[in-house]
Amino acid sequence: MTEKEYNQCVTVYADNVYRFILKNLRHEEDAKDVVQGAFEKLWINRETVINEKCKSFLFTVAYNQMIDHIRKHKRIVLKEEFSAAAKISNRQQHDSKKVLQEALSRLNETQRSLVMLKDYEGYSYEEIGQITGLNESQVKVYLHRARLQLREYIVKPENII
Amino acid sequence: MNINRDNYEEYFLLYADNELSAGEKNVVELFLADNPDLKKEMQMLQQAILEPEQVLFENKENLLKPQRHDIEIQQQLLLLLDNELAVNEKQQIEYLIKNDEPVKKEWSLLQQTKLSAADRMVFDDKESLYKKESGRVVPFRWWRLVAAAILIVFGLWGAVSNFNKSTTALPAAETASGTNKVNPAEKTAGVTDQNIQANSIIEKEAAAAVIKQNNNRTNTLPENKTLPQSTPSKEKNEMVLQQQLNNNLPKPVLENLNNTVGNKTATANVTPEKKEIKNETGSTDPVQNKITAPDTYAVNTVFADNNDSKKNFARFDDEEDDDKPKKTKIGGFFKKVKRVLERKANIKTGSGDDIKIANMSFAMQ
Repeated sequence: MTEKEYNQCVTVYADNVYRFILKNLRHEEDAKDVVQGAFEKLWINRETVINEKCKSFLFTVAYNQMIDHIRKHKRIVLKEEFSAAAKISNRQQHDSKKVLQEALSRLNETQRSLVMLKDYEGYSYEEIGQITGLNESQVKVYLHRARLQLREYIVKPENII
Repeated sequence: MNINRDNYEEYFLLYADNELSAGEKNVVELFLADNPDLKKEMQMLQQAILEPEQVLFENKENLLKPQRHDIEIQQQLLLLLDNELAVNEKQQIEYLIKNDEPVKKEWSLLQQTKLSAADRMVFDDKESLYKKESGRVVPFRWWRLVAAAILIVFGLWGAVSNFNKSTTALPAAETASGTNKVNPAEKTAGVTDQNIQANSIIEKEAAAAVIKQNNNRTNTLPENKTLPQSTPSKEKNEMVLQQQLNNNLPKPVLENLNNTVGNKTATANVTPEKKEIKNETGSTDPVQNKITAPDTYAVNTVFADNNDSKKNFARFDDEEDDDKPKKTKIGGFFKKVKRVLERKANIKTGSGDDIKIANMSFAMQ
């Protein structure tokens, strides 16, 4: 991968990686740090990474760094989740997008990542497996469970539009 | 049954719990009629009994286990949502969605769970991610190190072996520039910067002699000195000395340039059998019989017997002359470079009368 290809990769994929991480971490600065780290690693390994695989490489590195970050800051994340849950119980949701985002935030990080990689990035089960280190059938099962959890949340009486 | 004011509580509780028979109930009721003050206590106990109330359990359908058929359909719908179905499976489930109302409802619900890719977020600090290469650094990996080491070793080996050859082997390769240096006959008093190298190696079967002369010093040898020539004699096989030098001095410096004959004159192939020589020369060491040249003469010549030309033993050894400057590796290297240049430039030694350098011809005679 040349310098030009790397910089093109920044232009095209930086927003996607940032969205993927920010939706998971829900913390802008931490998400930016992870994105910086992922691109730094891509730059260091540019000799071995071919241009066609740079997106998968970025998402793989970013996913792993994000999981490490979540493990380090587990308590903070849990606290944020509690506060989010409290907010949800006290108000009526009338925006389908918001309801879905709330439902997404209630999934665990693996399920959330799988849903985002599928819906936002359009990766196949196999590609998602390569990024997250799961096998194809695991991806299928986890993703379907996540989808049904989202569905259950949407059909709850307090969330019905 | 004997009820009185001391044990009525137990019977009252049994009455409230409806645990008494009809006769026993009558006895309790008669007792209450006789003791109206206890009637209030009986009412309080009866109020403590809970009345059954109607409670409905909602969403009982959630507890029902879905039929296998429904699970499969849901699975297909999820796969359709993830775009992971084959074409024929896709057509089947799409047909079902169109014609089956519950499936249609389920599909619309599942579609709501799909995130929109249009939900964009911008990483506003892209400038910090752009990079510019600052010069290419080639890592010095182990295999490059090994290759470099092999090249160096081979280079050194080649240089050393060539150097050894040039110092020990026949000076046949001594070409234009070397020829006049080798010729011992060109020892002229007025000639300076002329080196004649003499090197003689005597083995069992053959010997080669290179005459080396360093004329940095003033040569005081008498003019027209002629070195003894010895012709090889195969019959006796005592000693072969090829020395066809025109030793009549003075001669031009470039006389023998490009002259192979001249080269040969610098070579003395001696094939003596040492034991025989020693025996014939009266068991004296050739060195002892050597005729030492004057100090200014760089060539040491050893003759076993000057009178007997068959037993001539010539030795040209510059090592014995301590005053003589030693050959250095750098000198050898320059000599080699010179030779290579000569070959590359097609300078024919000994065959032509002139030498061509840089498209200019120099007459050699």
